[in-house]
Amino acid sequence: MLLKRLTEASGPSGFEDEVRQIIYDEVRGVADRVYTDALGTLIAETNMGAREPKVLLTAHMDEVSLMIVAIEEQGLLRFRPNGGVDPRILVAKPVRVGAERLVGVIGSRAVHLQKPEEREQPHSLEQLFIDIGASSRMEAEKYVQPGDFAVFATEYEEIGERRAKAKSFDDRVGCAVLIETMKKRFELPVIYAFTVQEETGLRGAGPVAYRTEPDIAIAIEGTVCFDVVETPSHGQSTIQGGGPAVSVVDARTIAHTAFREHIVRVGEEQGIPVQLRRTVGGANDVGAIHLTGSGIVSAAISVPTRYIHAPAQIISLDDYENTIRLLEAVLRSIEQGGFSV
Amino acid sequence: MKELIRQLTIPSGPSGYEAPVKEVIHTLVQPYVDEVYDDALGNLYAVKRGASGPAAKTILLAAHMDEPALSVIDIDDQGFLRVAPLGPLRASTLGGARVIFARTGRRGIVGAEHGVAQKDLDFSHLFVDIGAISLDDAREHVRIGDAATFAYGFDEVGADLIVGHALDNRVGCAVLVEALKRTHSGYTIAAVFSAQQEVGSRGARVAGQRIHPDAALVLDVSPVGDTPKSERLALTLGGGPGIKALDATMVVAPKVRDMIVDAARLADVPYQIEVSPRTASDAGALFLSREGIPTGGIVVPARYVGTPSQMVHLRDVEQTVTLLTAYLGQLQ
Amino acid sequence: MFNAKELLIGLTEATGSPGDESTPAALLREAVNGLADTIETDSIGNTFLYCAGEGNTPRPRVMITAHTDEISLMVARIDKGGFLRVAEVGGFDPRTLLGQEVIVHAKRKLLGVVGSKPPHLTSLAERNKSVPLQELFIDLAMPEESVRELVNIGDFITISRRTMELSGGRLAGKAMDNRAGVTTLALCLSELRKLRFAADVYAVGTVQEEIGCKGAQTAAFRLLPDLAVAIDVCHGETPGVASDLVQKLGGGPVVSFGPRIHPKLFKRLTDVARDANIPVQIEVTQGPTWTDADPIQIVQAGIPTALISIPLRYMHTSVETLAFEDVRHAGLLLARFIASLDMAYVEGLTCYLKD
Repeated sequence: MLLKRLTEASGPSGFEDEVRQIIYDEVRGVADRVYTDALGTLIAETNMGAREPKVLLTAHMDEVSLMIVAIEEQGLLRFRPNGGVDPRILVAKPVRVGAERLVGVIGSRAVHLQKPEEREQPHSLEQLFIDIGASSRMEAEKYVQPGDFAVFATEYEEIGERRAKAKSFDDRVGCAVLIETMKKRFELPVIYAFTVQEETGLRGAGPVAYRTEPDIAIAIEGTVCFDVVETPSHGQSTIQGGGPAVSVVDARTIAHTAFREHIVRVGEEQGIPVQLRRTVGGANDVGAIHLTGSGIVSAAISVPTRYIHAPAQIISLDDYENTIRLLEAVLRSIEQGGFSV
Repeated sequence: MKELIRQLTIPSGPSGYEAPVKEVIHTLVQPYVDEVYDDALGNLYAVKRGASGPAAKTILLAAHMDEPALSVIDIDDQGFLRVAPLGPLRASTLGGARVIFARTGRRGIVGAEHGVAQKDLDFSHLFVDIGAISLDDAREHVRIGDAATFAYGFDEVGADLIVGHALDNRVGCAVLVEALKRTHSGYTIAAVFSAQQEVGSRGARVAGQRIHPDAALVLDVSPVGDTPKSERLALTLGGGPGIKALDATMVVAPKVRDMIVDAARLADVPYQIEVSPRTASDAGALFLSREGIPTGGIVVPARYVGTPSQMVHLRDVEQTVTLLTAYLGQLQ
Repeated sequence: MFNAKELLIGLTEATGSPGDESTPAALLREAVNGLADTIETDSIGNTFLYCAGEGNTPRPRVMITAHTDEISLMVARIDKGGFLRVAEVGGFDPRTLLGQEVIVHAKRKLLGVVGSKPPHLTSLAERNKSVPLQELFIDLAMPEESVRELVNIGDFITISRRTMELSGGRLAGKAMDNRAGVTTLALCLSELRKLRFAADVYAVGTVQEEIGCKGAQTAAFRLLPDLAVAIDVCHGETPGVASDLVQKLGGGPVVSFGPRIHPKLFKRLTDVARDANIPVQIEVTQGPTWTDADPIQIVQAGIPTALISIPLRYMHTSVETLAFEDVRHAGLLLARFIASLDMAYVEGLTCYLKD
């Protein structure tokens, strides 16, 4: 099960090795050429001799994580977040530490040991630590050193009706969409890039766009979805089960109007549900890609993901499958000259 | 000049949706340049070849076309629109503002939810009323992703002062249009009417990479320090064009600044030096292009920048054109 | 041949504001005269010192950078009485500026003082508030007329400070950030002359780091090296600061680890240090390094990048303090690292896959 393997792998920003290897093993027999760049982005080229436009598809491999920065006398690990983590969600969560996937738990002072006024405040990072069961610094140092990373220890499971929960659907769901899409053949030069360091400032995508010089780029994301109790329509961003979401404006991009309208039209024509992402916060790799070179016509298509950046994220499997269908339909339309730059 | 500025401030130019402004400028500059084209970001390029032939060096002149706007993110059952800012707008200043949607020309009023203190207002408390009676009615006129700008237009105050919601930076665009008309330079002039400056100079960044000029100059407006208890800035309205030394994006190298100062002295144009630490411009993005581009700027002093009523002095605008033309004329 | 400590003292006492780094750049060029094969300056002021490697081409192309600029102020306005109001060019803590002597780079260099209200005239409430930059003023001790005659809006202002030798081989002064790095570049080139090395080395004195690491980005675009090492300063141990955020003065140069650093370069630097018996410390940084390394890593199609830092106390003040031994060791480490490079190693830097 691709989503399970991808989401349970560890991929801290800058240290995406586990995820990269899984994807490499998956795509090496499919793409014409597979290689990595200086930052570790995995690039898979298909049908490069075909008639242009050249299309770049991206999904990022990295996830938000915790970097171990110091080991306390008692063997407890101090950490700092690598990527945007709300410290309030960390307390009492299990994590996996380092390449050996050591089990650890995020602890804090028990509620009984806190003053009433302290209980009103969320735990700050300084009050949290990871406990791997070591009884001293010396013992902990046998297993862990500063610079190692911890990721959430969530298991992938299908729950409810046509939904799945896991960590890091942002953006392993995008990686899965790209892998599934690659298995189809297009009469277009299509480059699939599994990028690094998106969560720490969209750092991997710009170099890939610079290297590959695409005419058109599409990023596939897991994006904010908060269609939950008491949230007004304008605070939801996307609706789970409402289909892939096309970005309009976010913190780093104003979408190319003609291309985003084209994508929505393709969805309507093919009977694939499509929604617009209705918020301006957040960003994705398009923010770096569209400003590369002389400017690149780009779009972002996202799978709505509840509880993004938290340990247990939820997606709709229908949205996931519809994103694969929509991406194929868009590529077919480009293949047939339905959109040109 | 006044008429040109008026003409340029009529179309609405939200960041990312500058097409209406671009069309007007395209028509205006066409007769004076060798080539006009645009790009994926929405920039308009107008190139005038240098007198010294194909070997001529290139200077990039940038004036941004866009203005801050409200982007529609949701429409409710009664037809009220929810919006988010494109560019530096503050929610607390927008209650009662009149706006116009660039795509359809539909007008609207910004309203605020009751019970939130003025200073605590954020965009989630604001909505736009376009006079629709239902969701379906609203959809006839506005779609998610449409953008609205202020709808206050152009005014005159006294003999020489003009006021408008988009003088930042249609004044810079007007200066650039006029300079293309009048200038004869040894350099090739790549005029860039840039898109998306208000959201972080995205257009300028791409333009710098594409043109790869030998030097760059931005044309913009900059706030003055001559009103009661104003920010401690040195520019004054009517004091002549400002030559950029520092803004929030850029420190101009003294030798670049001095070349413009020398041009002002030679042309006998009064000038001021701009040190404006909280003002953004396209200069920083252009400077960082590729191997690095020596970049400077000339600004028109303006009052009330960041409000819907920016004010400039027509003589400053005229003198900015004179200075720019003189500077370009001396480039060999 | 230069004396490294004298070079560092000379560099720190020289002034070089972002946008006008010509003076420290000239001192660097002078120091390495005879050590570099060619020396160039680009259109925005970056200084390129080139040393050719030995052997057949292609040779590894290595960029090492240190920024030449220092945080400065700029005259924003001349107020009544001839008092100057300022804008910052780089990040000052305005609290460290009260009572500071400064140099205004006007038609001639003018010594001035950042004025402060005497305690006799301040209320308790006032004393409990720090003075923001906008409220600071510089007193040039001359009539307004003379000030207006000599000073222009846009003139740079720098800290006035003679560099001091403290006990135990430590130095204190302004602009150790990053003239310590500039000195490291010179030391590295001098050490390389004693070694055999295959790499083509480009030592770059970069501009405008303090306002956004600008020169390093454009220099990297120009050179497109196979790998890059940025040299800068990091925080020295200070009471009350978490141990992972600070490093020991005198404990050796600091090698960074984290997402912005290529893992193989980190490993090679620490291996070289161990083999050559050079003391080093390790810093783990999960976020931005806030140095030239950040932009260099993502220039063009991406450049493998590393960071070596000199521990420094009281950063961005006029009494930045470091252990000179750390600078010397950084120069040694950098030279030995360069001497260890060959093409096979460089080609391996883009290989992340296991078949």
